[in-house]
Amino acid sequence: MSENELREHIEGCKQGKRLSQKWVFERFYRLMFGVCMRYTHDTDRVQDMVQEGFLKVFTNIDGYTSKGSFEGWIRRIMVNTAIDSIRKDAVHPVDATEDDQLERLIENEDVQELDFEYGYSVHDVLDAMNELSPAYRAVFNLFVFDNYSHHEIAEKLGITVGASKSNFAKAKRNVRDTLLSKNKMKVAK
Amino acid sequence: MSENLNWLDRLKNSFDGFEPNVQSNWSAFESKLDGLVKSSGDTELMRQVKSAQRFAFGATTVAAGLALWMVSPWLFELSEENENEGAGITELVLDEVSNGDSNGETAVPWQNAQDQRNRGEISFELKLDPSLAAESASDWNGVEKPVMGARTSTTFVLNLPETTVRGKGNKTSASGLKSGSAESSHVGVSESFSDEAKLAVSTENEDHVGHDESVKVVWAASNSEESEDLADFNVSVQEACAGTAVSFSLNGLDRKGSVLWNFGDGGFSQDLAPTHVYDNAGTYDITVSVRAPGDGTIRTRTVENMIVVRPKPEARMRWEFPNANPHRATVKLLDETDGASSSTWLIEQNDLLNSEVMLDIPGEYHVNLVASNAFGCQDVAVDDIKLGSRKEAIAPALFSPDGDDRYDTFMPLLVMDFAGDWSLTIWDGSEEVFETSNEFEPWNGRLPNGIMAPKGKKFVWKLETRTEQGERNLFVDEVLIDG
Repeated sequence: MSENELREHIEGCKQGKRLSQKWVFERFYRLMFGVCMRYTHDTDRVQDMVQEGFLKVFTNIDGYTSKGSFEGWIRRIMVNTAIDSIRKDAVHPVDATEDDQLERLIENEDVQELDFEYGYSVHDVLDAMNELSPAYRAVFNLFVFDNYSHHEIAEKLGITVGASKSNFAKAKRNVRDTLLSKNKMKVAK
Repeated sequence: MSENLNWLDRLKNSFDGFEPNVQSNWSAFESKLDGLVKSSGDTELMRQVKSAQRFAFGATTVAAGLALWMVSPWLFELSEENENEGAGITELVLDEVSNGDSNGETAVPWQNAQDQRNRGEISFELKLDPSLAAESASDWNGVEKPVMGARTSTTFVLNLPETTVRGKGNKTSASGLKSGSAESSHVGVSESFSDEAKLAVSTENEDHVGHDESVKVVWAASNSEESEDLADFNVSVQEACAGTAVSFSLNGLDRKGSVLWNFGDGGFSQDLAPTHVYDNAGTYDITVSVRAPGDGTIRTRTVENMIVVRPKPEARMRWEFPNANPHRATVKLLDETDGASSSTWLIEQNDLLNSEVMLDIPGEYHVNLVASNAFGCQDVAVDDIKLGSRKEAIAPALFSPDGDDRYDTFMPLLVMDFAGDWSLTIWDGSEEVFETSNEFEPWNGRLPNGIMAPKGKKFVWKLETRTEQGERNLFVDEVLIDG
């Protein structure tokens, strides 16, 4: 894909040209499927998210001003769509009652586990994330993959910053534990 | 701490470019898109028609949409304090003021608002109208903390009278609001940020329990080099054709203030809503500078690649006369425009369904060619087709090729000393019997088989001329072999 080709099709989308929309849809579909897959393991739902996201992409295409990367722009729309979709699952996050304690605990664990060898596939990670509750999963995703700060996550999910931090710490620990147990299984084989 | 994230970084990196093995289903999606398009009223076809019309018939309006933040200082009455321009105060940018509820009885108790932007810091002050405060500001509450991120605009909501502030960075302060106070109440907030922030103040009136309303004050720090696209900033990139007027407008600018537009091709304008014609194809950046009437603050905004100007075709045409009789001629029109993707012919204001047309002789016909290129840019070529008879060609109605040296040959007098090219053909029905392009080689009545044309027979002649100026005419008539 050349930059020019992409540019031409973005222009085409701005003029509502169907062929350009198709091109963009097919070019980014899988990538965006991968983005939304991080938020839920339900592939029907992922498909809905991606389609919904592309509808937003095409109806708001005029808002893309060529300043940043187009992929990044689409990705942001997808993440927002995914969040909107799962927000109702995440309305009851575990609250952060003992923020500081928990964080200290997690930090200590991390220090101990610093040298754990990381050699996991995308599917290992997705499996580990599937074990998380929707709320944990959302926070983990937003923080790790989509570069949101805890403040932003709190705003997006309608939770407190403390809850975001605490959910993240717990999610991180769970993901790591799941990955580590996989590792052990591999070793045992 | 950063080392703790190592495995998370690696985990994240493992997803780079991750594309699961799924099939995109365009047709299913397309039907959704269709539903959307229909409900929004514009089919693709309509859009195309509209865009063609836009290119064809006039000014392309660029909804510059330079949103309220560009111009809205005029929506505000600047207060006295702002006239005191201290060092370090670089600008005043207050953007949008909307009252959440137009219902007058619960007007939000505020009189005016100001902000001052120092380097890296914005401080905000709301002055409350004491009378209004007494009436409806009796209970201010609801808190949200402004979260300044590079990514999104966010909302300040102040908790009053006791402001609690959560979040990162310096503590935001608020002070002074007294319920029902007869004095002006001040709330000050200051926060460092680099992008854009919104401030929302929620009020709850005891008399209107549960009825929230808000004043939203949005301001944008305009060091836009480092900010991402502002949410309020809607730019619709448009295409225009070279040679077509493009019009520009700023949304919401309805009062005094001065504006300078830089159209990116060396052209400037100080009009609020200028039009500009781009002569050359290319991509142009548009820059607008707005000077506030009060403090003279100049703000500049550049939109890169805002307008794509497409090349205009150079319409050219010619025509042929595949068939003619003394009363009518068939004219075949040929579009010779480079890169033309479609052409429309008009003769005497009538649309032609195809490029061949029958025209009466004699007559003079005005032809328009509207040629479009692949970008939908159009050009018009105009010419006249003149169809004449023997009168116009100054040709005899008869001649007598009998060797008596009187009227022995046929040649229209028009071609004598004619400045340009011409060709004369003589026809027996559909068979061409003679042709010449030399005025000294007239038709002597001899047929291709060597015998002389019989007396009393009529032949059709056609004279096509092309002047040095490129004017092409056709003359058609009959000539009688006389005895």
